[in-house]
Amino acid sequence: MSKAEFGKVLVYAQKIGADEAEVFFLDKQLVTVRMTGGQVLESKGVHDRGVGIRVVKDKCIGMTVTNDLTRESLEKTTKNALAIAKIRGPAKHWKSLPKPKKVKSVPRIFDKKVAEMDLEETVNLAIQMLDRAKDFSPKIVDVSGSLNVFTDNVHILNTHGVDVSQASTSILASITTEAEKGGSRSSGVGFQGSCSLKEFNPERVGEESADMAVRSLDAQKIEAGDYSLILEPFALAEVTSYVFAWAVISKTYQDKVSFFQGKLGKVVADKSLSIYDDSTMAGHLGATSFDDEGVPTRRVSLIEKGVFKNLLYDTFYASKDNAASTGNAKRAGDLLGRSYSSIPFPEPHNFVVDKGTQSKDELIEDTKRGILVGRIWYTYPLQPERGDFSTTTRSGAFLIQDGEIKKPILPVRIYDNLPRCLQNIGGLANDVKQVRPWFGYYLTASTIRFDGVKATPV
Amino acid sequence: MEDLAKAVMENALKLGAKYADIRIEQSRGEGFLLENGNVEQVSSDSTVGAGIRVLAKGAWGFYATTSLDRKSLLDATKRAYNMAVSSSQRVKEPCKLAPMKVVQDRDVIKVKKKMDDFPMEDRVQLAKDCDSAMRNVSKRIHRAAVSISGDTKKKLFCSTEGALIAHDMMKCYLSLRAVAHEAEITEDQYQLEGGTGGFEAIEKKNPIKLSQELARKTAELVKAPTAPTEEMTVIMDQDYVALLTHEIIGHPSEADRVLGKEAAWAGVAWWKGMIGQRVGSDLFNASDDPRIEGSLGYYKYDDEGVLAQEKVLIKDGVLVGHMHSRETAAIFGVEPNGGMRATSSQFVPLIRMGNTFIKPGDWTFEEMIEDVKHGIYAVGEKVPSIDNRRYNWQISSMWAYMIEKGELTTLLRDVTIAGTAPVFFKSIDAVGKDFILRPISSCAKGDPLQLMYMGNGGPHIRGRAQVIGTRGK
Repeated sequence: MSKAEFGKVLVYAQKIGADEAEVFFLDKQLVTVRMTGGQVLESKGVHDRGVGIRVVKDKCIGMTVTNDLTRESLEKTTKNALAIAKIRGPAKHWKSLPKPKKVKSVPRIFDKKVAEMDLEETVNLAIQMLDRAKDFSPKIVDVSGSLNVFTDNVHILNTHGVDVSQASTSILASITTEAEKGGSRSSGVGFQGSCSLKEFNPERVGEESADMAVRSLDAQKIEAGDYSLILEPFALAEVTSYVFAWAVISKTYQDKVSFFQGKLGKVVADKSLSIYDDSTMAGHLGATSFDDEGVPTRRVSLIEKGVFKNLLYDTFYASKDNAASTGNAKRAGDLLGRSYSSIPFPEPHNFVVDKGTQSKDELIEDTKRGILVGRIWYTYPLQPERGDFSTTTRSGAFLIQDGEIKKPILPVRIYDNLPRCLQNIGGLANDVKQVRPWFGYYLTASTIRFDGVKATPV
Repeated sequence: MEDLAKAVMENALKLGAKYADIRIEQSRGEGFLLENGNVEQVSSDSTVGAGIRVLAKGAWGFYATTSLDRKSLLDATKRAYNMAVSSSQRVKEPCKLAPMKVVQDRDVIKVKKKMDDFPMEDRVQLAKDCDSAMRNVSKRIHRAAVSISGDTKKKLFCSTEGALIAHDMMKCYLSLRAVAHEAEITEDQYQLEGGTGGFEAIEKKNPIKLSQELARKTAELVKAPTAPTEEMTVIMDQDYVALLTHEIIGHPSEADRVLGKEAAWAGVAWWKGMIGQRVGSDLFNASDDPRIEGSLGYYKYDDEGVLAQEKVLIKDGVLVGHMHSRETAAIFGVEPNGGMRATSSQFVPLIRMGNTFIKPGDWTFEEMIEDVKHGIYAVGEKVPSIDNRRYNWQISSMWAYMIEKGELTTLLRDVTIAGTAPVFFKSIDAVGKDFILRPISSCAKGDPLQLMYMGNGGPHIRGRAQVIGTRGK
């Protein structure tokens, strides 16, 4: 679909009475290779393209979606957007769709080689991940995982003159490995993501996973009690995605259900902790020059040296607080990346936790009684308003005693309170990595230690 | 479209496919969110798509497209075939499909109030009435939110074996949310209703009354004490049982999970290899049955064209079966039982719950409660955390009551119940006759992740478990 065609949609919207209109066009190609039992389970591809059309009339906002891109369908869809906008009624706080602003391109988020990678090449990458894990040790008994390679081509225009487009590529790879020795079974996980083929090392994913599984053999049960909990980045990502994120989204705060309610500008965490949302990091997954409304992105400080600084805003929720969008409008969809079907909503692009000064080994040496963990599982806020969360250790869990890794441990359940954990940070390492949990947000962070966490054997 | 689907299947065979199927879908959806009397978001979508699955050289390939012209579908078939061939490089055990009865049929869901019979304006008015009902209950209700949505889908399934099934579906949802706030305590409670069929499915639930009850309880909760932390007798209501059943009976009953095929993300099943073994008390019976009309998990044929049926999972406390695809049925040496569903044509089908539930027993609620000296009555489901084997769980309830000397006493907020599947199942000593099926709208599985809708439920049940109070303030 050409730019001229988009322009015609905007002209048509105004012709039938819209004060403002916006076209969000997405063309997505996704290839997934899934592996299980040490073999390729399936390869699958999707080509999806369509538009979301948003119109505003007298502050009444309506959005409609279609993937029939004929002129007739687009006009019908626009007309329908105007009709449902009227049903909606006026949003008194509404100011306007974004006005054009200078967009600074984020480097290295598109790699032609990834966009043009043929199927065979993709399957071969998956097989390299698989083989490296399988061949790592004779103790490896099962390897599963997935490789997702996708390209998003997005184009956003509105009647105020916003006209931005961008292509981005992403490779997301994860391997879960199981090892066995004399009746003891353990698992490991490896994850890697990048925007370019050059920065992607499939063998490292397999090796990381197999290494963790083998090191975790002969796990033993530990006593229930209070421990220092040391989360590696992949484990921490479950906490930031499923527990932390919603507390800093403007909508949650406006609803007064954030566990940081009333704490803007106040201390909510140890002073060693700074968390940002940063979609401007070159070559990082989640990086984008503009958000899904065409607003230029920037680094948003959420917690700075322990102080709660900002909320994440899109245009709609920002107008409710008489604030500016922070460039966090996202249209997250069923498939990875963006979707043309979703209404914009404020969400993080890529959480960044400032690294510490010590190495991970030094952090461990500094720990009297702790649990080090590589992967946690099903981490959810059981009492979201309070920030209570529950999780179990799944892979790469070890007991630390007097500064040393003593032994791998069997799963434990952790039930604690995130605001309490954030006030009790025992240290931050400098082993920065970008990760993404199953359906969570990207996180760029290092290993972190929370003190006084309750753990109970499963 | 039928002729085109057949032509695409013929083409798949010519390419060398051993088996192929196509799902062509046309979907329409409308929804809105109303908060504190104002419509905040409104959207309408109309999309088409096709997904083609090919089995060749013992491996699966799949390709989905949003272009439904002949050329695009033939191109997609070729891509799906190439995907299968590429996958086959590393197939040690070629995929086999259990035989099934191939049918040509049409399944049209009974709908009284179609989308256009209950226009958006009327739906918004109903939502406004629910919203007022919630906010009029108490000044503590700081936010009321109501969302009503409906979607229709026409789906055509066609396979190289000659199956040709047309589905004409509609489902709708009503969600209610009440947030109460007072003296630094916030309570946020949510309730979902929904099913297959027209908007009459929502209306018959008496939305205004539901709204008032939800708001009343949420407002009371900000003044309620938190739960104690101790092991005790627990009676769970049908709503809590629905989530418990979903997480620790339904999911581990998916044969792909049992076989470790979902190990990377969704997890595995603790009862792998335990068919025929005792996993719970004699009173513990569970099944999956998609055939319940009006339920959110209703379907007549799954996405492999297999006729839906009751899948008995647990009988008198013994694990007796799993939910299957044709592929896993062949591995287990059983008949396929129709458990495969995909969220849309963009995805491959996976083994999914239809309606999974604990079967009713013969106790009344009054009988269950009268001999409990000290216990807790958990009402409603909130948030789950389960280990990756579906063995150990912690699930919060919306609220709870203390049970003392056979009577419900203090209302409690922030209640979490924890247990270990076999220990809890074996402790079940009373199963009610008051069976209810509840809607679950967004269950995650697969990679890329698919969110699926289904039904879960059961009657009141009684057992022993660990109760945990909040760690927050």
